[in-house]
Amino acid sequence: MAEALPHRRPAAQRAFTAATLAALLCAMLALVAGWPRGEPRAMSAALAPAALAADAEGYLQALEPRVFTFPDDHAAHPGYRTEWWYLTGNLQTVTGRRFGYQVTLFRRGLSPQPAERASHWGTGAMYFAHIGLSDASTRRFHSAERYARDALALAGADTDGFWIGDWAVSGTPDSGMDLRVTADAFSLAFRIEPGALVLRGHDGLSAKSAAAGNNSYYFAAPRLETDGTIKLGGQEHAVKGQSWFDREWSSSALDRQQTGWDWIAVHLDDGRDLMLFQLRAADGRRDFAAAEISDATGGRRQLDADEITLEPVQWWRSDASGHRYPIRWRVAVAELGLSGELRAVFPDQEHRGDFRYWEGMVDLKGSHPGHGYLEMTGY
Amino acid sequence: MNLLLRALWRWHARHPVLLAVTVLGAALGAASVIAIDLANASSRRAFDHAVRGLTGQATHQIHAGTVGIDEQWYVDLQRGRGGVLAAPVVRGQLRLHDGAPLELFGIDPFAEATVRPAIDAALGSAEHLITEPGAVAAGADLVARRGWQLGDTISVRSGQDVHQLRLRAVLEPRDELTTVALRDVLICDIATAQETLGLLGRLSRIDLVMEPSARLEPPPGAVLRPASSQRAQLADMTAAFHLNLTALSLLALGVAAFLVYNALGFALLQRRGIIARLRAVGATPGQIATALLAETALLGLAASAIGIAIGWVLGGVLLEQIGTTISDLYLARDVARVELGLASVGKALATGLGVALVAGAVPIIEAWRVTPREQLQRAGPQRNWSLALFGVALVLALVAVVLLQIDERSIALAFVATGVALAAGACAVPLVLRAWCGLGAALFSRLGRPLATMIWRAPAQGLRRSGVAAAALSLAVAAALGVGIMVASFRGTLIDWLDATLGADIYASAGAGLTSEDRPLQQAFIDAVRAAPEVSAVTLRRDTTVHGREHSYRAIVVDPSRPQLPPLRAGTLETVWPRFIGDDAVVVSEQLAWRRGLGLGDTIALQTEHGWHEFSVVAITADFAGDRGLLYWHATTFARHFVLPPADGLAAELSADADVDVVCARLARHPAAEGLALRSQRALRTASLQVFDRTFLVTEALRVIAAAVAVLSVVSAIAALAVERRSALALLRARGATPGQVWALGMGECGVLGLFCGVIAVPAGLGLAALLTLVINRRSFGWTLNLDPQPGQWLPAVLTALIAALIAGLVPTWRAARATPAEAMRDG
Amino acid sequence: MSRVELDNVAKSYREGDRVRAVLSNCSGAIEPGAFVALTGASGTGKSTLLGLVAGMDRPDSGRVVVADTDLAALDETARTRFRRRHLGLVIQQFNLIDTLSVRENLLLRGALDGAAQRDAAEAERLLEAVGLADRGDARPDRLSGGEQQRVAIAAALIHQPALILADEPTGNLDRRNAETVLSLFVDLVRAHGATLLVATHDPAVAERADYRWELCDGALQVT
Repeated sequence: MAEALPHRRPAAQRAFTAATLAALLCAMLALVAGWPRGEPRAMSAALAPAALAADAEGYLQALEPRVFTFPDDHAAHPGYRTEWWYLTGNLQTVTGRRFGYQVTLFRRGLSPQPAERASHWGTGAMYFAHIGLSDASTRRFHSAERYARDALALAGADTDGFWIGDWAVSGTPDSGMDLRVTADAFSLAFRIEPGALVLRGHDGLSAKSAAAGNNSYYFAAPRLETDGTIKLGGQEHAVKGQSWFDREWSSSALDRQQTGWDWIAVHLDDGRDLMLFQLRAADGRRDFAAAEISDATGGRRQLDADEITLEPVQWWRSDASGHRYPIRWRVAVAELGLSGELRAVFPDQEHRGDFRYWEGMVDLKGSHPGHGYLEMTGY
Repeated sequence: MNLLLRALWRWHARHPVLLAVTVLGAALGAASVIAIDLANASSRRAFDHAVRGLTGQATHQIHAGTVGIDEQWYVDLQRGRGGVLAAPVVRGQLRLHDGAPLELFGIDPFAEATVRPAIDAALGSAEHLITEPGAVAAGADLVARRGWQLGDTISVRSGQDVHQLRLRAVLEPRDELTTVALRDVLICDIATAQETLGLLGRLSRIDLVMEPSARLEPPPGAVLRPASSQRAQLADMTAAFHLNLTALSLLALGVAAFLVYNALGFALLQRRGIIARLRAVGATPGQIATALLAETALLGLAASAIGIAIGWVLGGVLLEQIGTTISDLYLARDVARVELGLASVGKALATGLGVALVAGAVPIIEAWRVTPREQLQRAGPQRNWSLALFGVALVLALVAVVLLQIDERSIALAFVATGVALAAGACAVPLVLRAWCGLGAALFSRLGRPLATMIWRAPAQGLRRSGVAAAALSLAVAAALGVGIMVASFRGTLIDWLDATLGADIYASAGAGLTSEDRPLQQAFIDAVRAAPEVSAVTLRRDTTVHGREHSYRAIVVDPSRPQLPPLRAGTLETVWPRFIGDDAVVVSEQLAWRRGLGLGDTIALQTEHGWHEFSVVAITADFAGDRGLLYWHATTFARHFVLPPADGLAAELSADADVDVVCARLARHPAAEGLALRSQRALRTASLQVFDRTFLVTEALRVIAAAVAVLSVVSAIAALAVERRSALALLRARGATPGQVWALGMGECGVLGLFCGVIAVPAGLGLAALLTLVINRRSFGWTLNLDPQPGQWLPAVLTALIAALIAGLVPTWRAARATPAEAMRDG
Repeated sequence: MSRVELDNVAKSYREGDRVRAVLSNCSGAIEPGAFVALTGASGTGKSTLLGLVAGMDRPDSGRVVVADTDLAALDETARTRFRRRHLGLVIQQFNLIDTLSVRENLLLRGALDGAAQRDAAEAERLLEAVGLADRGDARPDRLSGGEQQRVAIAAALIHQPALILADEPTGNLDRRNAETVLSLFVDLVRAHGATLLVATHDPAVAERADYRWELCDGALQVT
């Protein structure tokens, strides 16, 4: 990729991949949204930011392209500082009632060289999970979070799936998965059909900053047919739709000047899948942007980042947290001839757990309509 | 101050010593109550907070059976079942290098937020705790007390093992509850706790937040209990202990009340003239009574204020003792400092004021009846109340007997009965004193010794005064004697029990040997003992916990090869033994039998590895290892139903010709004996008695206070008597008695009174001891104690009273003797 | 000014098992402003009679009327209040409160009414009158017998009572002192216009009286 931010060094003249983005998510959470409102809530909450600190010393680094082997690479990669399993999706019932969901498992290294312990509880890593359910008909957003140590299989990820407690996704994206999640307010039970894997960046090695050496390993399964049931408020809804699955691991960090980002993943009605994002500097202006489009066969193309337009059109203020988020965006990707408006299906899809951010279902209107997910941090 | 009050009060100002003694006596009485109340409340609060603070928001707890909960059970719970908020706990006792106990509380920080938010918040960002073996966190209070710095290595002993822990976080709890809970606790990751405490693969407890309707089947051998039950059990265990201390402090207060009564009564008698004149001038009885009431209240408040000051200091000292005792008997925790709350101050003021007003009531009522006519005419002869009082004494004694019969389990009634009995004794004193003096006077009169006759008649003449003084002194000496006899009897019973129980020659345990917090012995050490040529038999002991439906029980599991049990209260060794090793039988200690109302043939349902099982009680034993009682099993029986935990204690019998100390010393040098308490039978016996003596230190302290109040009351009473006797003695001087004769006469009177008090205190003390030993202790703790009358303590008691009376009389008598007849008569 | 009237007054005391009749059938009256000396041998009941007139005691039967009030009909508190308001008392043992200063003794009556300073000016005047103006702050036990009795007289007059009762007011004083005190006393009482009843052995006192009541065998004879 030769596209570059004009004001950056040549070394940085490569597009960020989605992997970068995902790495940024966690780092951003730490830097920007990390400390929850008011008092520090919990040790469990405090641990994650600690793990997300910029220091990657002692951990394995994603420096060279690697040969991905499956199913082994579905499992966790101890030795790297950060890793996650990221599922989002737009679903609807036969009557057209729409739901969006997010099930994310993060793994964080707490220590690059965990001590040898006699106790099975001894560990050098932790897992945490965020789940969200957006109910478009009632415009209600439900979320929950969990923490566990990487020990005694309380939480983990192997070639058969990933889990934390009884929240579990068994199987792999290329062989199909079963998702079972039960929170206080809702529960999800989905069958996720297999789909094509797409290696992001340069054969799965993606650079994530202008500075050299900050890379991650990354692949995705952007379009997975999904059906199952959602239990909410004592009612059960049979749903169908598409999910989007991201996998990434790395040990690197963000540049300091970056304070937040906007990330968009859209299943276009034409069968292709569009991912684009921008990183914002402290003054709110774009620091960096990237986009990539892929199809159901695994074919993909990186797009010219300089030709991407992402501009807030309408803002929404969260009464609960007091923060403002853009919930309508003008979107244009010149290379695709794409021009339209991205709209949150409803405004309040804000995670208000230990980390505060906005992640929810969106519709793309315009030249290339579609449905997808938008993630916004640092507002 | 108004004129009326001033007119009455200035009399006190003229007798500062009497006033000081009165106030000090009342203050001491109040101080003892305040001190015990403070110490009790503080220790209760400390222990309650300790339990509650570490329970957090948990609604239920799963308590481990004999060997802890398999950690895999918890993992399965987490992975198999949604919606259960659960936090695992691995906890245990550590000792610092100086022997101070600390609790190691191992948690999974990731599970804390929902169960113990306060601890979780205090922990903050402490990832070192998880990743670093041996990393611990401690409350700022503990860190400051110990002078630790962040990063310091803390050397601790867990059973036989020494571990180096590292202080990686200092916690600043935001609420008081958590602060208290963390007072003597090291928080660590569950992995560190397992490694330090040697509990790999095991959990001590699982704390749960569950809906009341939720059902959860606990793992084998464990029980699911409401979180509140742990506190309730602790409160239940220590209630009798606290009540006993309170009752003893009330005894001191009772003696103090007598003192105040005596002093105020005397003050009234002295001021009858003033009062009569005031009445003649036109003061109404109500005005007089109001002024006296104000004066009494003032005195009470002063006593309270001083009492609070003394009580606070004393409470701190006692709290340490009470804390140690509770640690010895119940659970090993250090106790927080004394907290002087508003409630305590209020209680203290009420105590001092209450005592003063109650004690002052009779004199005030008498003052009400003073007529101005006394001004114009001499008062008629004094009414003789001693016979009527004796009647009251008989009625009270009857009431006490009836009270004891009403409910043979009620501790409170037993204390009330004891109080009533003491009151009965006090009421009987005047008549007995009159008889005593009458006898003495008659004797010396017949012998033709007029001076001696005078000496003996004096107390009977001023019976109103001397009766009260004698009652106060006798009561105090009797209380001191009674408590002394009780303690000695208890100690004697304990020694008998130790001698009967400690049948082996060498004992080894990895803990204090007296609590259930012991750690396993190393197998290598057990093997070494078995291999020693002098050792003829080895018995292993396992100290563990089993769970019934309502209560958990301490269980002692032993494996003697030949018939051997602690002394039996019910059942005989011959009949019990076969069932003890063969049947599903259990032996129950008498405290437990008393507490739970168990008798021979009753059954106890317990949660075993294979579900609920009924065990029948085949014998009841004497036991003095703590007061909550325990169950005894033979290891063969126990192992059929429970997982046999590793042995934590060992008793070895040596061949007859072996030298115990030599073998003991040799075994102690064995590498696997590191950190063990390895003691000869003699040493263990001594150590046990030391714990006993420590337990009764508080009792001793209260005894000393009661005695101090008694001495003060005698000083006050004798001083009052001396003032009254001054004119009589002056008359003697006028009639030609030398100062020496007058001095002898005065001292003789004091001696007669003191001797009387000492003599009468002996039967009274014996009665009190009998009540304390046979009734109160039985009802409080379930112990059957042998009452040993301790004749050796009698003479000292008599001498105490005699000497106290003589010392008290020294100064006033000397003054009376020294005074010229003229000035003495004018003063009178 | 106040009239005193005794009407068939009887009083007896219990002494162990025996009952000793002290007064029986005493009747008599004192006109307002009169000075009556009550005489009789020791033990004839002079103090008892004074106590009855002072309302400190109740007759077993009969009436004691002072200033139109039947004292026997009043309860203890009411009698005390009556005494406080209408009577002044001077008795043998110097009825002074030795825990109060001379001035405080004078102010006590007002204090008992809840007005300690009510009689402050009168107290100074009376102290002047009895010649003790400079001893107001002294304690009674620092005074001589005569001085004490003069204070007692002042204390008895402080509230300008209608009736003054005195029991051997000069009994403890030497001849000279007794005369001085007696003169002072009688003069002051007369100056106040109060009725005066004095129990005494002293013929000098009796001589100065308007007339005498003599107690004999429990009955009164006016002479």
